[in-house]
Amino acid sequence: MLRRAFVQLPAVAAAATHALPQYRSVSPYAAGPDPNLFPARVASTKVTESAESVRLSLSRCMQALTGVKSDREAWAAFIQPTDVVGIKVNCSGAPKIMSHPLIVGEIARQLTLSGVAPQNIFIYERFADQMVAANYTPQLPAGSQIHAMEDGTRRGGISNYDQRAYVETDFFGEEQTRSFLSKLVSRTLTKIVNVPNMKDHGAAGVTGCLKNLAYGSFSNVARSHRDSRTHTLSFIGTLYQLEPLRSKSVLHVMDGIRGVWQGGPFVKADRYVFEPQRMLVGTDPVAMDRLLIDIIENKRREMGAVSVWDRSPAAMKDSRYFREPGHIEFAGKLGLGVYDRARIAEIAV
Amino acid sequence: MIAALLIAAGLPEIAATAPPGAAKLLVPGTRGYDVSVASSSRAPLVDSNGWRFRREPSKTFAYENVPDARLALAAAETHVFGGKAVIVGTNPAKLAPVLAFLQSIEGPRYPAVADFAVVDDGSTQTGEVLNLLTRRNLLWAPIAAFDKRYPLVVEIGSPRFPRKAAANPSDFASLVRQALTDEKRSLRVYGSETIVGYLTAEGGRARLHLLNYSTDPVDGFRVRVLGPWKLAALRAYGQTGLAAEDVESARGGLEFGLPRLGLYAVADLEKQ
Repeated sequence: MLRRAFVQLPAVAAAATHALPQYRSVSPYAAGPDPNLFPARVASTKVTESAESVRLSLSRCMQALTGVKSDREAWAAFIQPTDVVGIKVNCSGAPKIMSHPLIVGEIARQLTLSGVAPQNIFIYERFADQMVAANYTPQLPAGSQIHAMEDGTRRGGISNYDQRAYVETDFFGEEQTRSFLSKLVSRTLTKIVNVPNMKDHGAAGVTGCLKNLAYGSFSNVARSHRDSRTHTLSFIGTLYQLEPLRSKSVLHVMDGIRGVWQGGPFVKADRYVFEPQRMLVGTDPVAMDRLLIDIIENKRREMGAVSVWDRSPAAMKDSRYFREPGHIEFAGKLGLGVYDRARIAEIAV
Repeated sequence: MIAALLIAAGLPEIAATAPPGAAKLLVPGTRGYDVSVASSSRAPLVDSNGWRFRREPSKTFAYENVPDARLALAAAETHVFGGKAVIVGTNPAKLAPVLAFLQSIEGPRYPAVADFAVVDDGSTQTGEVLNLLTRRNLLWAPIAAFDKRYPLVVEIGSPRFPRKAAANPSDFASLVRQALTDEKRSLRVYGSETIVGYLTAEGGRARLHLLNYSTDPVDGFRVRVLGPWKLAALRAYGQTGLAAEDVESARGGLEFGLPRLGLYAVADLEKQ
């Protein structure tokens, strides 16, 4: 698994329409097998806030995605009993908005049915205080582990990050130029199931599969925003593709029981919360996030909000930064998935 | 006699009153740093006296009204930067552990490593710049006048470093950093903005001092020292068994991590 440290230099400058930060990506870890088993294919269904609905919806989506007739077979496409599995939740905004405990609990249950020992299931997020607010434990198999990289009140320590795996760049002259990858991700987990929400994001445009894994698995990422500028356009995909994060991220379950159409990723006002009542499941984070743009845009249009693509002064009235939903297409150009909507097969079940 | 010995060892004297003419120092530490507040920058305000010791190594300074929680830091920074300082009005017993540690690590003092020179006109403005450079771990040497032997000379008021820019010492430090470039920095500290490093070297040996100015321990950080160094010894005040992690030679430098730092660590390096 380990090999000589190498430098991953993103060959994407030509893909961008404006100057990009200079990134230096460093990791001693080799890439594993391509995790995108079903590119451009997304299973989609209705889901409501009940254990039964979650169970049925996840089951239908998993079977539709993989084309098999049983949950056991579907999960076996991704998970083996010997795996150590991380469930990457999103707790920004907990307890009002977060990866729903019912969905996280059902995924953990399916993992145990796949033969994964509960102690080899890690629910992880960056900040401990947010994990406490989300309160996943009652929904989890006994023995499952809750892991946060940073203490809630003393954020910034890097003892839980891998100092050999990082992305280095200087966005705005900040002294701290490295963002380190979670040590849990690089050294302990063998697979990751990603569980983002459906949310607007003041800097990224929307926050779905890509941003949840990228900004949620590395240290020192908020530095990409300053004043009205943000480098989420290129930083999200650049972080995501650092190995072994990319290779281990084998499945994405997007939770749309509840979402945020404005003011995300947190809940600035209850009126910004909505209920898409949809679940998306896939292995292609770009394709899933491309669908998410439409979900958030449609709701914003319905509510009379500006488009997430809008860069006019009017758009800045409701956002601190110029939103960068283009980060999803950028990630597509990095080879992380399919962005072209016409090529994406949404399998509604 | 004891005081003289202490000062000779770069340790602070303890006295009931400040000596006549002693310049008052800041209480070392951090200010205005609220980690519970989300912001794009988590850089705290660090009060370090290192630059003052380096600027005037023969001057006597005084620490006054130092809270107990900062006494050891005051002693350690005096030692690290080779200052002459008196800590006023404290119980010597409170300082005994840190003084014993500092004496235990006493060894040859090497010259400071400098990546560039600063023309020091003695002004308050230049002093503030030296302060910020120290806090950013930008390694400087003070000179009295422009000296072309240094590849980079920072002279406030020169075309490259205009006086107007020095009105904001923080921005000015960034200007110096840009001129130097990160690739040429002899010292980097990743993962903490409360640690001030001081690198000294001579021949094939170097000593790296790492001072944590926060009252909270630093929960993991990484150090990079430019050059073909290897780690020979590592000791930390109040921490036994401290071991470097993920030690590697990378891009012409030595890198290592420390899982935790309370107050002060010293690393001895040797050329490979």
